[in-house]
Amino acid sequence: MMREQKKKKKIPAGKKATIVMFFAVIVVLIGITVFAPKKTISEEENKVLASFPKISIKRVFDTKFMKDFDAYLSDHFAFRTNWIAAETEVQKVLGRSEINGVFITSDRMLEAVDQPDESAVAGSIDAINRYKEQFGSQKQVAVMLVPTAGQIYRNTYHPYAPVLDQTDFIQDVYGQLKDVDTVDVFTSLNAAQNSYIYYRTDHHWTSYGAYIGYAALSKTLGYNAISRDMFNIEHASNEFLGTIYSKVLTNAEMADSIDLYYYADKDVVEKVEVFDGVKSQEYDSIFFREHLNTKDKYSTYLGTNQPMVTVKTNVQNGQKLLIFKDSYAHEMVQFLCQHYEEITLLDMRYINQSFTELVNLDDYTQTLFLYNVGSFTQDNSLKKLNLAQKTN
Amino acid sequence: MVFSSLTFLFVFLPIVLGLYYALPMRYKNALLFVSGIVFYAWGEPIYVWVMVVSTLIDYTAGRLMYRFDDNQKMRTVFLLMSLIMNLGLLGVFKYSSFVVENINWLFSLNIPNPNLPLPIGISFFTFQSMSYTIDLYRRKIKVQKDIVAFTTYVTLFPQLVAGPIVRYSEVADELENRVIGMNTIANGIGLFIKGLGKKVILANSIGAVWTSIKAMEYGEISTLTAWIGILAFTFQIYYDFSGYSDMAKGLGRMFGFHFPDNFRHPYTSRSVSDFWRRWHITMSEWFKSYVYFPLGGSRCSTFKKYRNIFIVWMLTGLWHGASWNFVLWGLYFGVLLIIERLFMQKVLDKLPKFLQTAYTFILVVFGWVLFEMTDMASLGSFFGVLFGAKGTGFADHYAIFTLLNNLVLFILCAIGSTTLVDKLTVKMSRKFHQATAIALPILQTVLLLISIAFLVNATYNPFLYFNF
Repeated sequence: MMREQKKKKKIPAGKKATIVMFFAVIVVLIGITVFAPKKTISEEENKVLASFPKISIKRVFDTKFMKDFDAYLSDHFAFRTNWIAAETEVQKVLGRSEINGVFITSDRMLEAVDQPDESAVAGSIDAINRYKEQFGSQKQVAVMLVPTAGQIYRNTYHPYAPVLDQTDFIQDVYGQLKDVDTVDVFTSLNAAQNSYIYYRTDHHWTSYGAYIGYAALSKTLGYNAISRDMFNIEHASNEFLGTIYSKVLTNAEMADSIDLYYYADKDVVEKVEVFDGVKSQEYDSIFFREHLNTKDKYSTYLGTNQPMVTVKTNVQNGQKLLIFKDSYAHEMVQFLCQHYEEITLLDMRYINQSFTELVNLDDYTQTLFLYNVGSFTQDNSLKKLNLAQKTN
Repeated sequence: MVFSSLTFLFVFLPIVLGLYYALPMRYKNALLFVSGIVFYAWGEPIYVWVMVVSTLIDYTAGRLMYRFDDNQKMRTVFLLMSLIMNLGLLGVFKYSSFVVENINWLFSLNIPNPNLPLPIGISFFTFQSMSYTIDLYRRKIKVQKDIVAFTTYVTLFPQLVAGPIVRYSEVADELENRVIGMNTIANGIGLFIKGLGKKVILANSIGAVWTSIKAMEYGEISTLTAWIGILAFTFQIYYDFSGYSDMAKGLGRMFGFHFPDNFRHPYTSRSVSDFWRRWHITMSEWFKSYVYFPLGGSRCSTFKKYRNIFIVWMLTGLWHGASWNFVLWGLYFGVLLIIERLFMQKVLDKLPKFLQTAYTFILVVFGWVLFEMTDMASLGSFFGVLFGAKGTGFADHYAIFTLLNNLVLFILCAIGSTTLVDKLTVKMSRKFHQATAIALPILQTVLLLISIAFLVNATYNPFLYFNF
């Protein structure tokens, strides 16, 4: 023993540093992970965090417990969002122009639209054609597909990036629709690309973008678009970090502004009914200001996505509009409400019954399908329109 | 469990290491054994019994061989018992579906497919425990009477699921007596971090490129796309596999074990035979010692010489997965090795070094196509695209964009597979000893932190050896 101790070599400082560093990193990080208060959602990432997995013999033997534990640890890992942001920075150093499906340019972040899910798109086209045939023979049915920022600002990132050509896609879909009025909004959005028409950190268009959509629709739906000067614009927040930001957690300085448009001093909206699939709740404004203080500020416009929202106004012209939509439609209601007694928005992603059980089609004078290309290429929920079969 | 996971790095490892360093030597093996079982059961809670049974049989076979030390017949019987059991488990779990499918196809039968799950690492631990009984039979090692020490050897989690294939003789002494000094621990940590970085930063990132390209319609991709894809896989499997081996070796050191090298810059090899002395070394050594040499190696008639090469390489192929493409992959290398032995080596010797390396690299890359394409149709069309025979054009937008988007990564992977980094480290530490001693722990910290960032956000973290 004595001899061994004498023979003991001196440990170089660098080796000691390696050992101390390694164990310090592990112990500090797991310590904070264990003792820090647990969150249930990650606002920054827009994500519900896993809760501690239930343990049972069955869940251990089918490895569900282990998989859930891995997910739990990753979700609640100390400084989780900072790690994700750090990874984005490393990816930038690696010279990647596309990071987690996001293209970062000098003035905005853009989301790549994947190649379309062909069966979903065919199903949606078929469902719209059938809708026109069955329910809209006497009434107007309009379709507007809105390109995303990735198309309008296509020249700001690599020309060879494998993203969908959205203008071709829209043309192609419009060509397969029968007897419905299709609306081109690309041209006017493209012309306005130097204005603030898309969020820099979120996948939606801005209120201004939606205004351009509203103007583009006017001829087809038969109203006179109100001049944008006639609206008072409230910058309700300038700290909006949207869904694209959540994917990369970088460039917070690109934070967006939530603009609310008020027509003159007169508010035409009387009430807003939100049906969540079980019960209805009434509100008196199309602006859900409580969302201004949350991460999900976009929900200020008509709330989160719900199966059915009905907006009733004091306009008296006999016009009622039914909209099948994704969240791009929410901002349009600021403008459309000036021209309709009632607007009902149906989100087929959340409706699993025949929509005719929710609305009486005879009440409506016009139907609008309003989707952005990103969701229209992937979402197959419009197929559920076929659950409604006209019997007479 | 895999090394490249938060659960391993932040829960399992600190607990095991803490206990390990705290416990006196006589309990350390028992702790390693229990940890090995937990580590294995985390991913394979049911089939952990396969490993336990295999271990117990080999332990018993060893004891019995010792008991009947002077009865050569009995010793042979016990060796056969061990071999039949190990190869039997391997055969049943790994190859039964393959055999049944082929018999059904050959004789138009309808034997139901057993569809057994493949316990993780079965090819690694059965080979390891067989090295014990065979070497014992050959009287190269002493019997292990301590059941804890023996089970510790088989279930030693650092090398359990993805190698290196550590032969019993290589760790026999350390199982009973090992020195765990600060120097060893620090070196182990360094190796582990290096391996972790290789796996989560390089292998996973470049692997994602191949995963997208592999899933495409080969009739529609350009030649450049196919090349980018297969080169991405070439780097993915190297960094993934050698990263795992580095992590295994590093962890081994932290526990006081010295495992053999498994990779020595294989992509700088100057011939295919050289490649196989540098790629997955412990596996080739295993086949050499326990299959090739017993068959007579190269010291026999010409016919037997070539037969032996074919047998070994067919088995090597099959070891990587129960599918014909792996057999083809193995035989491909068998043929190349014979060609080199016949005349190619002489030709190579006359070529400049970079051409020798280029020749080897390109043949290895073609090998990876065989390795990755499980059906003959896609194999054919993928090779077709590689050689521009599909008329899809040399390059398209997708190929150019993917290349640009991953260019830095490809360059890093290419540089990292040469000896440049190692040479530079040695040179620097000689010239600027002090500065290197300070810089190294800093670099290691940065690498560890970046690896953690990649692990926290891991959307793509595959385990490539589920077939093995």
